[in-house]
Amino acid sequence: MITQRLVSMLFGSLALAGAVFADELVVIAHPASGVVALERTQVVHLFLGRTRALPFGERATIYEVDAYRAPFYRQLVRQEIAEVDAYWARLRFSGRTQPPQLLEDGAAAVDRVAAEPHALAAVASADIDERVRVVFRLPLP
Amino acid sequence: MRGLERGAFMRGRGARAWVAAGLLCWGAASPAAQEGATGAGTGLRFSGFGTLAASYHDAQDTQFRARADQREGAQAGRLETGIDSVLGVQADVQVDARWSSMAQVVVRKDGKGEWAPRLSWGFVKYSPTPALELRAGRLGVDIYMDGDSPHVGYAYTTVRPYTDLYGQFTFDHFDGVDLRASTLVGEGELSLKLYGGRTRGEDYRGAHLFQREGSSTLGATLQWESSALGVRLAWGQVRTPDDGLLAPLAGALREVAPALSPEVAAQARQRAAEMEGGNSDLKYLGLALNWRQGPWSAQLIGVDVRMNRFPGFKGQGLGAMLAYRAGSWKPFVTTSRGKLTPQARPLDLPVDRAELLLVRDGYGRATGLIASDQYSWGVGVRYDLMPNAALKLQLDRIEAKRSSMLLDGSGTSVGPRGVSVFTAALDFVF
Repeated sequence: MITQRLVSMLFGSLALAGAVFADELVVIAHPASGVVALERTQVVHLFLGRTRALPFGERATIYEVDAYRAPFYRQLVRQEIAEVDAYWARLRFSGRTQPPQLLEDGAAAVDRVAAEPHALAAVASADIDERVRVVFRLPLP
Repeated sequence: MRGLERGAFMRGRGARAWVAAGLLCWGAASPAAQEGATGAGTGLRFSGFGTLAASYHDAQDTQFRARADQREGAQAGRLETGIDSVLGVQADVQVDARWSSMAQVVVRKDGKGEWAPRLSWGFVKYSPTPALELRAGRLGVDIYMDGDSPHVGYAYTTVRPYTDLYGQFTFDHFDGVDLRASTLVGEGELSLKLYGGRTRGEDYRGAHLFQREGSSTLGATLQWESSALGVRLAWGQVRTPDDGLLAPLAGALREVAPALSPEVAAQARQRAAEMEGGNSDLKYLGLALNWRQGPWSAQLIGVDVRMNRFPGFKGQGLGAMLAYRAGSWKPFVTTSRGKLTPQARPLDLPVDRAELLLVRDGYGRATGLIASDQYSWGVGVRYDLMPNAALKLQLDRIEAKRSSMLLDGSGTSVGPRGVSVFTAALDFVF
């Protein structure tokens, strides 16, 4: 039993190395945030904690969805999620900054952004509704 | 409490525990924290990290250490868990968008050979703008070019920072302030950090437990980091008041001087004066490059150290790593070289006079106790077996012409020695 789980974990880890997320991933903002569009560089800076400032200077709150993290960062910065997590460990445990807040699913992320004018979240395009605005689209791999 | 009984309430572990408790209470009592951690990033948050590691080698009469402040090293034929194992617990309080605090306690084997908690970080942070941060409290020294702390193994590719470079740096925190300003430049972030304060605590070197009281630290770090490239330039200085450790030897040299020839007597008095030279300064300058391209990553680190504590030291270190990420697997190779050379301070005591034996032996230890010339190469693999947990296997080959990191069976620094060390480590964060 344990051997089977270890083997499946091993092959699963190898398989995930080449997994492709089927849905388009987008970054959403509140319509009243003043953010119309973000460039890729800006998204990288915000989601990697290099800045907390939106284009007009407001402090942003960043949200992630657990299921989308791996494909999001693989497409955004060409890094596996383990590398991103190691990066955040370095920042967290030296008191630099905290990682984005993790939410359970896309619907919860949309609810948060719709309720918080300065929030951003990375979700699948299928999650969004008219309460939020898409400010960045990750090209499909 | 022992600290109260000795009247040393504001020193040592008692003070650290109170500082940590005070920070947590201040944050938890604030209105924002009272609302709980449901606001947008406000409230109290607990987290932590750890490493469970075991090292093994079979080099007889050799103890492997990763840091010079470790009383004992891994001995031949035995699994040693005290070299790299650590547990850290952290509390973060985000009061509002500008104010926050953090306290971190780390448990690892200390200079007394005990598993003891120590406050590694504990500060209040004020961030008036997203680009400016001021912190005050217990902070880290920016000597680790691959990150801000050596304790968080999960943040590193390898099992440990380069022993050849960082093994001698045992004062990696201070009580003071740091100021960090940053701006976005192109694909990356450019930042400048200035820091200064007092270094406290104790570390174990060469069978002595050194108390660090009254040492002061100053430093600056300039860094540019993007997803593909990171460059860090760090400068620092630690000033330590004379601890009097060499005073008996200086006194002995003055005592025997009248019985020596005029030339040797002048030498002896000169060396005695140099030992009583007051404050000692340690200065370091480091440069690190981190490169990432697709699955490949590489790192190059160089460090230069100058220390004027008798007899004076010059040191250089170089470390390099190459790694390849394939899904959850990340094999790597490393190499490093560290050299710490005491400056020549000749003293031509006659060897045929038995009454000078102790003085001659003491002088030899004072001028040669801290010296190192060793290089290492390593090969290993990191396997991220689940989110927030990584297993590492690493084989290091250390070749030393002289080492104050490797010890012999009696705990003395060694001459030419080679040792192969295998380490298995489980790093995790929570």
